[in-house]
Amino acid sequence: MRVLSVLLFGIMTVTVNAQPDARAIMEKVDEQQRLVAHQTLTRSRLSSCNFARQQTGIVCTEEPRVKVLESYSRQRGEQLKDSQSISIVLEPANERGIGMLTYSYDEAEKDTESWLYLSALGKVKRMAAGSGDDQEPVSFFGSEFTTEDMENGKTDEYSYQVLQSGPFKDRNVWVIEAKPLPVRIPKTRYSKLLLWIDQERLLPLRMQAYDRRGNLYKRMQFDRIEQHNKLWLARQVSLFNMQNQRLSTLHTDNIVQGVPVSSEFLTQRTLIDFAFRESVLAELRPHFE
Amino acid sequence: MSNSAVLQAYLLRVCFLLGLCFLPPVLAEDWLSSDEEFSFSPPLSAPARAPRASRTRFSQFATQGDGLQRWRSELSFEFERALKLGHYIRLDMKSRRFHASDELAEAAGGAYHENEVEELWWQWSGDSCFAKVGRQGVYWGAVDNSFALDQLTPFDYTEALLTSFTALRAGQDAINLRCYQNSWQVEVFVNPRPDLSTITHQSGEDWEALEDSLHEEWAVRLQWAEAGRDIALIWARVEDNLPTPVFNAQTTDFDLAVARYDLLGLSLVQAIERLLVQVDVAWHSDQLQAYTSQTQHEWQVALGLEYTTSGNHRFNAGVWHYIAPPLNPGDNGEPTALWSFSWGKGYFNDELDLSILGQWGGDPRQGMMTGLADYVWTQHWSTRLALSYSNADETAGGLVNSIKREWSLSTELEWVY
Repeated sequence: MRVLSVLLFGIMTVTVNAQPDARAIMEKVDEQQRLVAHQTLTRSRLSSCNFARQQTGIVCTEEPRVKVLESYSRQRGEQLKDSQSISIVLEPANERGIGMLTYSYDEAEKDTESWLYLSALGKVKRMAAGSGDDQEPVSFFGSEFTTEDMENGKTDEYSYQVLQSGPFKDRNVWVIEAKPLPVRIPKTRYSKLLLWIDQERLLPLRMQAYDRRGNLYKRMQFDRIEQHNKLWLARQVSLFNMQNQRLSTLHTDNIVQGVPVSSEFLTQRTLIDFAFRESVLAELRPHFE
Repeated sequence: MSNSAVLQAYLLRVCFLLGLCFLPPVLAEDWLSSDEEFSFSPPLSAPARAPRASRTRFSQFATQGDGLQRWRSELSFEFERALKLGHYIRLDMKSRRFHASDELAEAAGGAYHENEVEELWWQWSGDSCFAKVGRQGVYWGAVDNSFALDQLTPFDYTEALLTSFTALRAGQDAINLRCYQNSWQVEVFVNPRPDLSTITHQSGEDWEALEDSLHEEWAVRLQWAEAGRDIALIWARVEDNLPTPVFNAQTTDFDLAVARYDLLGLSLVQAIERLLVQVDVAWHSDQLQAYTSQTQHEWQVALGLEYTTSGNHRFNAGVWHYIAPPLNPGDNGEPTALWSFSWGKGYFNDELDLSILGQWGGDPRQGMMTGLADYVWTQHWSTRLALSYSNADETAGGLVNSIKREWSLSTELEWVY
């Protein structure tokens, strides 16, 4: 029966390969993710812990470390592929007040720019971020997520192939393989990605990333999928690092989308002018969903 | 042969006939199969709250070294919140207990405690400007671990220097006004009553009288940011943070005096991919010459390089060039260079932070190196362990307690909520 199932799935895959254009699918997925990040304020919990597999499933083997962040982001440029964002740490207490402003650009030659507000010194400091060409991913606020896991707008740096199509957890999905093109290879720690894309909602339900030796490295699970402003988003994303047995979960507790603010909000001023920052945020927070 | 074996042989034959056996090996995987053993429900925890307005810390700090002993407790409280639209306040105060075996307590004749307000300010924000009034620190200059331009905020040398000078800075009462226009910033700073750096809590009446005699300080800073570059120009009228011994012809003895001088400065930060190049150039007028009471103008230059590797190692190296005060009456100040190096990196999802700070050079020679391990055990508890080595000429660092020592080990236990 095993051979039969392999054969049947093989036939199915051949059929599917002839149907959808994997790149077109991923561009739609990416476009939705960019729109979700455009003019959006979120308050999120980022929790990390060691995990183990038990009969009931995956469990944290220690008390998770929790960070609470408030972030505003917007996309820029003709195709909204450049991004500007500001994030402030609200918890834990010993990191409270640290803020980071980041400008990143789709253009590979243009350096990412970032400034850090050091609350202990009350000073804004420019950070060395590197250009798109040499930018290896770094940890996102000390979690298992890296900057690579959080970015979008890079669909032209991968080749895509639909591996399979069919029902997965009560949803019809495409299973798409993404392999980095030569332009991407220096910037990634992954040799390939597998994405389970919801055919109707055009967002991933699961993602697996493989290291440069082809071993399973990370696995992401997307839950609490909701629609806001006609856009689908996952309000809970869990990332399992299969190599160090740690997991991080990003819970988006509060979100408000499509709220423009003055361009001055995404400047160094917001990092140090608390009265200004709180005035702007006070107008947005009542709209939290 | 069983039925299933017959079926498999038949299907394989069909497979070869159809040419389907040349499908990619990935077909061996069924990516749609259920994966229940990997089910995960994140642990329920309280949703993110509104920002907490206060923070309380308690720490116990100890240092043991060659002739150096510190044994201190510290309780600090911070409170900040927006009062109403456009208004914000912040308070940061601490109470330190110097136990009987602490070297400062021994010098003072017994255990004592000291209450200090580090910050107490109110901020008002308008269209494109904000004003900040009250006790605060102002830190200018781009090169870490050097102070060619960072002259406005005094130091508190009763704090222990580990791998960051941040802990040594002390706020003072001032008005700070800053306006933004596109990529330009203009900042004005006025301090009607400057403070001297703190060397000991028993400074005496002469020191206090000297501090009372200081005049107001003011400064203007113009900064603009371009892609990959920040440039700032500074003009200030300031009082020195430490007094200088000068000859008093009337008493034929040496008195302490504080230089009041103009400061002109240029600060530049240039990002070149992962490298940050930092330059501070400062011109100080009317620098008091130790012992002679004459004044002369002085150039100071600091150059720093900061590099962050793809593995997030943070390296920083710099040199600060200035005129060292003469050691003996009749000598002239000599140009000298103070080199610094620092490194830092977070490990285990930032639970462990390792850092190193080294400084050496100068005339008289001074050198120190400290390695620090900072481990966060829980959301509220953390510990620090630091090993320091310092080596300096006898004449160096008389104002900084730790600088003449050799090996020392410091530990700190901190609770924060």
